[in-house]
Amino acid sequence: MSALEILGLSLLALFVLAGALGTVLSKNLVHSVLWLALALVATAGIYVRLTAGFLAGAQVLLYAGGVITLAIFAVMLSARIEGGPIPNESAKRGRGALVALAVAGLFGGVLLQADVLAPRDLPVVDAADIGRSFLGEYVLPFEVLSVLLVAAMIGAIVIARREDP
Amino acid sequence: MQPLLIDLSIAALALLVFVADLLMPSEEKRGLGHLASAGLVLILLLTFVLDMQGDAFGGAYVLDPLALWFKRVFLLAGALAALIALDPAEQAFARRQGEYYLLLLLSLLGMSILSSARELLLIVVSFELMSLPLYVLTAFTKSSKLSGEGALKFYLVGATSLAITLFGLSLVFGATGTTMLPEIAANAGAIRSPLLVLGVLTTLAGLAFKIGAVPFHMWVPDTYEGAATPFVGFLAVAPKAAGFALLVRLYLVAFAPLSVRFQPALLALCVLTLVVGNVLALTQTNIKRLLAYSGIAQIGYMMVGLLAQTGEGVGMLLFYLAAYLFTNVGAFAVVCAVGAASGSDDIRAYRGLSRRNPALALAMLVFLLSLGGIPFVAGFWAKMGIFIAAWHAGLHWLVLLGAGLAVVGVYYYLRIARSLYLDDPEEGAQPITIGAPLRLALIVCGTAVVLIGIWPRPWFDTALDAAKSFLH
Amino acid sequence: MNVLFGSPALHALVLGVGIVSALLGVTSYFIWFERKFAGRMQSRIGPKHVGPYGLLQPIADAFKLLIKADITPDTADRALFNLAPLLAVCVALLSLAVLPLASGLVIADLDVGVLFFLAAGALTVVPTWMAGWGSNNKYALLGGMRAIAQSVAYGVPLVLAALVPVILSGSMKLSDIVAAQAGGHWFALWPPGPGLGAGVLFVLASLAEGNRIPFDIPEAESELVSGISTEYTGMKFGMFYLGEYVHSLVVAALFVTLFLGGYDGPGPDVLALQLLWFVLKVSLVSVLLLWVRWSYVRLRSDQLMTLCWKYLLPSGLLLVAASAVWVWWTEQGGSR
Repeated sequence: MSALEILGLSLLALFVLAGALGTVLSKNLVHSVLWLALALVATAGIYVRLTAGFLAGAQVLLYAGGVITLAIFAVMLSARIEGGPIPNESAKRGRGALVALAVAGLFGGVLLQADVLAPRDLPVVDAADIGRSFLGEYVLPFEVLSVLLVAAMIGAIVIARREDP
Repeated sequence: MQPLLIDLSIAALALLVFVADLLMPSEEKRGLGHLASAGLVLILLLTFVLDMQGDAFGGAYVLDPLALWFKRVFLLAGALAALIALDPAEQAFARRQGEYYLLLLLSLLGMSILSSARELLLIVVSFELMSLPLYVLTAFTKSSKLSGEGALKFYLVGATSLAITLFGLSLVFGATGTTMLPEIAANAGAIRSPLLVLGVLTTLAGLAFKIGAVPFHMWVPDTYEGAATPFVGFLAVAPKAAGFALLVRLYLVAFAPLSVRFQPALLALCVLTLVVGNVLALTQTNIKRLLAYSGIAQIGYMMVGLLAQTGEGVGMLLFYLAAYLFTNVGAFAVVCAVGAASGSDDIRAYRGLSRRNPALALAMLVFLLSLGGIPFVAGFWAKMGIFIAAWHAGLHWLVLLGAGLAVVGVYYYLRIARSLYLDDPEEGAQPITIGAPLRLALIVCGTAVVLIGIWPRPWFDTALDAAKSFLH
Repeated sequence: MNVLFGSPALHALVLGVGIVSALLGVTSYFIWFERKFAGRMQSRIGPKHVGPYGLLQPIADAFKLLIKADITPDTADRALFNLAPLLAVCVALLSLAVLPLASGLVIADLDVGVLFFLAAGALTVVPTWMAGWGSNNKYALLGGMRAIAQSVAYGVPLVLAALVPVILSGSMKLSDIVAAQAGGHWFALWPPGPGLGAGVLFVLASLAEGNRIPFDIPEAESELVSGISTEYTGMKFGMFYLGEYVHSLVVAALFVTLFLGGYDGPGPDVLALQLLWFVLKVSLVSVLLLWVRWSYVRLRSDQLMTLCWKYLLPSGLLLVAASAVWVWWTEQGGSR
């Protein structure tokens, strides 16, 4: 890896980390949502580095465009709409930090042990390959997904619809 | 296509209910419940008539005796759940009945596919297809705050556990390079990567959430308490059974070469589940919470069967699931009837039930005896079989612990049983009448529990057969 | 990748700076043109005092915005309020990265170019909402909410519309899509139906996603003062303004690329000529969009949603299916 690349990757990692921490630690719910957006978009950047361009595009489109938008909607529809920040005080931060550190330590330790850090040539998987495997090898999960989406849609309507007159 | 026939039938039934719901005038939506229930029974009969075993999609989907057993459990649970829901659904949400049965069927479809899945992506997708409708069904009684709270907890825990499971499975995929379980089983022994072990353990944690094993059980009592009672019987049985189907496929087959690594974790989960479930059940005063904790304890017993890691253990687990299905669905059907009559799920509402409706009290007694594992009802043979299988596998102290805790269980089950017959009813309590559908469900469950108790032989044989043909 | 300068990084840098500066210049004169155009449509003359034909007006405007007082309301969420205008321009400029201006003249010819600009388009809600929320003003907030509702809804037909050229050309790379239309086989013309339909759908959906008239309910001045930009002053206001115009130019450019053959046109394949064709087409489309803008009235919020979910979305699905059938049929040996 060239120095430039290392710099870029470190920056991305920093963004993901800052976004994640900001999401959890921010005392303002609205800021939390925006930090989350940062983390998600930066993750897409890491996908780009892993030569998964399609995944990166889908990540931004679906997460930043879809999930974050819905989160914003949820914030605006559930909280009072004017005047000052919406408090978002997380309880038990100390314990949370402890668990997070422990998990990070565990996974970090395992990753360091495993030989995943060795440089290797990454296969380039383009959108056409993904499409082919969806309609070939993985056609059954793909079809089940469509049923899942129907179930989700019906479920959302059931929950959101006004109570019977 | 032949192996897929059962699942295709369930999907077709769901579609039928969906279309019928659109066409039917809103006063006649009750018919949808009949349709769903009868359709499921029909499909259940189909599984006995046709021989459809085999695999499809390059082995990603398989209909083996194990899957067939689980599918029958799901179909039966679904049919009973639809039957029990007929009256309450019409009263509580007359206009949304169609969606209720539709979501029930879709969840059932997810479980059914899950029990046949031998490929990670299919597992994840069908798992979600099972879970998502369950969240909605829990929140179905919108007038109740508890329902919303229970659903929210269920959803948050479910989503988190899915994330954990997915993370674990992605590590497994990363380490083995394949999503097919048979290939993972073939390669797992040779791969020395710590990533694989980490993935296997993380997946276990995620699945433990789903089956409600301690310490991942916090959502269970709240969800049971909040959800509509006719639905809880289903919720307590079918998704748990699906969880075990997945555990068997993953941990006894695909990850079997790593059993030394995950065995201690599984053992710890099992012991904790047994102890905590039984002990916390002692102090409950709400019947649904009590059955929730007792359900957690039952999960612990089933995990003993899993821990044996033998064909016998799996066979006994299958038998246990069948016995648990009839017992638990039946018990919740009684809770449903009493709750509808007295408007409360407090165990005081069960005082002197024998004088308000003797048949109902008798049914409850049978189910409680079965839950407690008293001879000679289904639950007795279920616990017995599990313990024998575990003993054969050398888990002597676990069997002793389980047997000891079973005695604790007998105490809190019999406490209610005693109050059914010996206490006086609360002041002003009216006799309870129950509708025909509920009566039918109670008769089916009660008869099955007694029949299995008196003559368990054919059930044992079939269960062992299903397990043996599968664990070599 | 086709690279004009030594390394891909240098290529991207030089082209990026060049294209962005050119675009910003073009944008300010596009605004001048629009004012003239709008003036004519309303029987006025438009700007005429600064320079000949008012040609120096954009410079005067920019200068005015720069020296105006920069006010941040006391109760505003300062971080969001100040970051929003900057992000709005950046996000609007993002799509430029994958836009081929002429053969080889593209900053980064990504394999997933179409997806990239869809993703960039999806990001526009973030600054809009930051501004709406951060201003802490009810009109701004209402504007922000409307913008998001609109963006969620119209993102779907937009994706479907963009999918049609992808299906027809078999690639998500914008240069491939242009190449597939070479020699006058523009998707808006051929195959008859899906291409043109998707083009119209694309323009409607992107106008709505960018909150332009007739879909500009987020800043409907007769209801919401000025929507999300109510509290903005000086150059911050100017940046929103700029972002909006950049966005509409980019939409025109993408429409040209996806449906009108991009830089394809009669004459030899030389860079200058290709660039000329491209600029010509984009200008024509932009004028068309201006025409729409100054001719039609704004839709009401519920009409907007009805239009999207009940008409645009189903027709988008139909168009995608139709184009898939078309591709299948031609591959089966049908004539082109």
